[in-house]
Amino acid sequence: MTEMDEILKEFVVESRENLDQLERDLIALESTPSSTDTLGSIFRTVHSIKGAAGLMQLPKLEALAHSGESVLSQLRDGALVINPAIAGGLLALADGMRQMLLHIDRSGGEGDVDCTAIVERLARLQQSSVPGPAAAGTRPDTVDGTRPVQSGIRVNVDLLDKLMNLVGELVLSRNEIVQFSSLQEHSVLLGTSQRLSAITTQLQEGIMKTRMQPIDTVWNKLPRVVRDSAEFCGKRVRLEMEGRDTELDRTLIEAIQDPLTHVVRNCIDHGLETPEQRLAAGKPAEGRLLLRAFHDGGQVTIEVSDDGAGIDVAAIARKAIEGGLLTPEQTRLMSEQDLVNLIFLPGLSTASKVTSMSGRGVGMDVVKTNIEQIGGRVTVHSQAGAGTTLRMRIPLTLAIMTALVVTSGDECYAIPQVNVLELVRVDAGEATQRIERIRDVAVYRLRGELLPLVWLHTELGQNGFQRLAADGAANIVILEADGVKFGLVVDEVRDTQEIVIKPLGRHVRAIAMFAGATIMGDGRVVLILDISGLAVKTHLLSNVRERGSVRHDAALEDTIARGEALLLVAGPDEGQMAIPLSQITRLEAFDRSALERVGGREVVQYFGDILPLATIASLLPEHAPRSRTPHGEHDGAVHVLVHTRDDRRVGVIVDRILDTVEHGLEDLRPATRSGVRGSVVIQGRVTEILDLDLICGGLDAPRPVWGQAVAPPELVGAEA
Amino acid sequence: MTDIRERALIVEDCRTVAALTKLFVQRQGFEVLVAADGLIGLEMARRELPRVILTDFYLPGMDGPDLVRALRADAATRGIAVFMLTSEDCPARRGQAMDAGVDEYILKPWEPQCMAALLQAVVSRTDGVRA
Amino acid sequence: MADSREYTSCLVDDLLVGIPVEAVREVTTGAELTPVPLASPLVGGLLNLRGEIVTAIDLRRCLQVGERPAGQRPVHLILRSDDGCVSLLVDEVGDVLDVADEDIEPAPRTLRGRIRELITGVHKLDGRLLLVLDTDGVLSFSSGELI
Repeated sequence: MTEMDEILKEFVVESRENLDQLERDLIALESTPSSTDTLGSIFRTVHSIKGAAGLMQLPKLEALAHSGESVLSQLRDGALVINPAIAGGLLALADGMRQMLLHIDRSGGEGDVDCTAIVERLARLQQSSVPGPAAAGTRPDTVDGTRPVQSGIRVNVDLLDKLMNLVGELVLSRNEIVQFSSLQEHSVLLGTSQRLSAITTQLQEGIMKTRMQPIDTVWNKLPRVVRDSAEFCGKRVRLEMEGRDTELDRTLIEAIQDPLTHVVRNCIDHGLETPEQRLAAGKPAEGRLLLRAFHDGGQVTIEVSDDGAGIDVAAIARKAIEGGLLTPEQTRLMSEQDLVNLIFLPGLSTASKVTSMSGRGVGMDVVKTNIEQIGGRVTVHSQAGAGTTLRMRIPLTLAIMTALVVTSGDECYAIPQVNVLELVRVDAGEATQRIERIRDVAVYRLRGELLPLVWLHTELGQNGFQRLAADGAANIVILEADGVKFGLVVDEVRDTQEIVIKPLGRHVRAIAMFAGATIMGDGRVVLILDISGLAVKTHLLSNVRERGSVRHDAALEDTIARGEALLLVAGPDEGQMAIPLSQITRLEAFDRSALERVGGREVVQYFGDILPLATIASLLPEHAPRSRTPHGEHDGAVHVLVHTRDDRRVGVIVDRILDTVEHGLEDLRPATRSGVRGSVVIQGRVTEILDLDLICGGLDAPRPVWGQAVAPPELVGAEA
Repeated sequence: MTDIRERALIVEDCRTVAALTKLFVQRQGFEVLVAADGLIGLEMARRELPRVILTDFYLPGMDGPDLVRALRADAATRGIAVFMLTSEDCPARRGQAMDAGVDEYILKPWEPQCMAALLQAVVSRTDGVRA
Repeated sequence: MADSREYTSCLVDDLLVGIPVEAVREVTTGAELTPVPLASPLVGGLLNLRGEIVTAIDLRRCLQVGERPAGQRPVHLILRSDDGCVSLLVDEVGDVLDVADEDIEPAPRTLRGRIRELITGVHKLDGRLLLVLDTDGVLSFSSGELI
């Protein structure tokens, strides 16, 4: 009886759709209780399910629907007026039906699902009839055909997936043919393959359109989630949605459903305050939850913002420290945004009423992973007292895109065309001039705009330092991602191709640099770069973004004037010194026993390397310190600032770390010794600003001779 | 045994019910058409001139009783046998349906044998014109 | 009648490793591997298997038996995995062996470290030890190495 099986399957699908509609209508009815259209729609929905259940010989489901119908006809006749208790009861009815449908779907029958509780609840609601004003002059049997008649056909989604795969394979084959034919001198072949190419592109676009669905498909379930969560948490929430008809590929819609639901619940549970708290803070008692969706340069952006209290960074930092994930020092070195981003760390999700309500231990880390799995990125921004915004950016089409192919070393890499602004080639000889340096950062001036540069081979962990192409030229790809513009220096720029994006397996998926992989015309696998991931990974860019982008000289100076992050340390003369954080690669603490002496210098083994060490005192030639206090020791550990210069690392031992501050350096008093940029008053004390680049400068000679550029330093441990 | 199958039109917006009813009526030897909306149902009736129409009471577009009234008002479709299928046994409803001019008012779920007999009766009517 | 299973045998350095046949989709050689910068050293690279992108896990590195000699091309054991396809890089693939379940013993104490963690048992085969690989273990272990 496979026909019946099919009908049963259809029944489950149809009933689920009906229940979705029912929930939407119920929530709408709560805000407009006198809407006869909505009530009529609800009644028809329940009636439908009842009828079908009867025919399908599902008596329990039928009985459930019937009990709902009774309440509804009383509502229709005006014997009952909708109130939260009734709405709640009917929503419970919908839940009960869903449960039963699940059972039916899995086992083909009703089994022993027990719905007596719901039936009784609805029966009680019926008794509670307080005769309200009779529904004004409506014919109880009025049927307004509000259910929209769709023009279109139903297609099995598996079939669409299959078509999509076939088109993907077609694109690959097309690429092979085009590559082959371009090497031939055969005009007919060339012409035919070009036509094939054009047709394939159109077919691909058409198929991709069939898979696009409006995000409302996901969003329309949220009013219910919001209502339930708000009730559960005792909060009042107004849900607003913008961009409901923004379209996404079907697979993306499925993938964001759960993360989005979790984020919404989180906002209501943690983000929004209670009505009392809000009133006390001068906000309206009702909190606002805004969902926005829009297309932006080949990506879809989905934002969830609330006007609540913002993320409590102190609490998160505390939790991270308690959980052993970070040390107090590390949290002190982190910027506010870094601390906010801690919510994405696994193990940091705060238990909440809502998650226990939903029964699932989903944390923000899972949300992030889910979004990253489909090639997207999640960022969060928070303002204490004002609210929090979570932003998800997802590539628009999962499968096929245009890419620019570049090389680094022996391998090719693909860059999504949407991120590419332009290509610049700086000829040999000009390279040293045109590539400028501002404070450690290589920049390129593009028509007056200063863009930070990154080298692809460096980002990939390959050897060499800011190397140029074999012919001495610099090939720069000007890219933009997440509003940040920068230049990527590559070995060679090849061509643009249409590629099929294939997902990466779990072993490599988490690498932020790569968005996926593809297969070239010659069969080789090529990795696709994630430009957003690249932008984020490049530390300077995240710094820059926090202070505004690097555009013109004036703005750059302004950035510096606004304040630089400094590490305050105790200086050798019991004075206070500060070192720009941008010069510090890492902050390490070694046990005294880990230090070794090699050739008169102190060194320590560091990640397979040997890190030469020096105290600040030994690196500053004038005014050599007289104090004999044991240096660099505090609580048994030796604190070292690791400074990187041109691929070489050196460690600077500091006595004590005092604090991290942000301070403007525009009014420095002139330096009194070399190695110091100047001095300024910080926290009431005169503080010298050390420049590690200058004082470690003598260390980057090919065979570093200790203290070559300065007068013989006082070597560590060698006390006169 | 007729070579040409008689046509039946089902007007029902619930897909499951439509599918089940179609299955049953097909097994009775009919060629079955389905409309999910009262207005479309009316259109199809005028175009296809089926032997029998099985319609639901509640429908989007144009409800059951209105559909029947429209069919009766049109000379071309006046003689088509109409069964109204409904899951509610309510005298008021029954009255409405009869007033509109249905031939049979049948409660869902219907008795297979009874339905089969009714459908058979329609086919064996030689004149096809409602008295 | 004793229960027995079939294992695909392969060589990883001088270790004889067995993998349940149901786990092996196919064996292939000569595939070009695209290296993945920034990935765990256990990841040998990516290969193109008839349009599917497969991650290759270097079994030599997993079992810590030293690098493959330069110039020697690895053999790919393509495994079935619920998350797409994964390939295990080995030195050579041998015969399919039939081993009774009862003949599989726990790893002897002489086997230490990583190898011990990644096998489910051993089987003595005239003079040699067949190490039965825990394929699921290898797959999750190698992906867990990524920070």
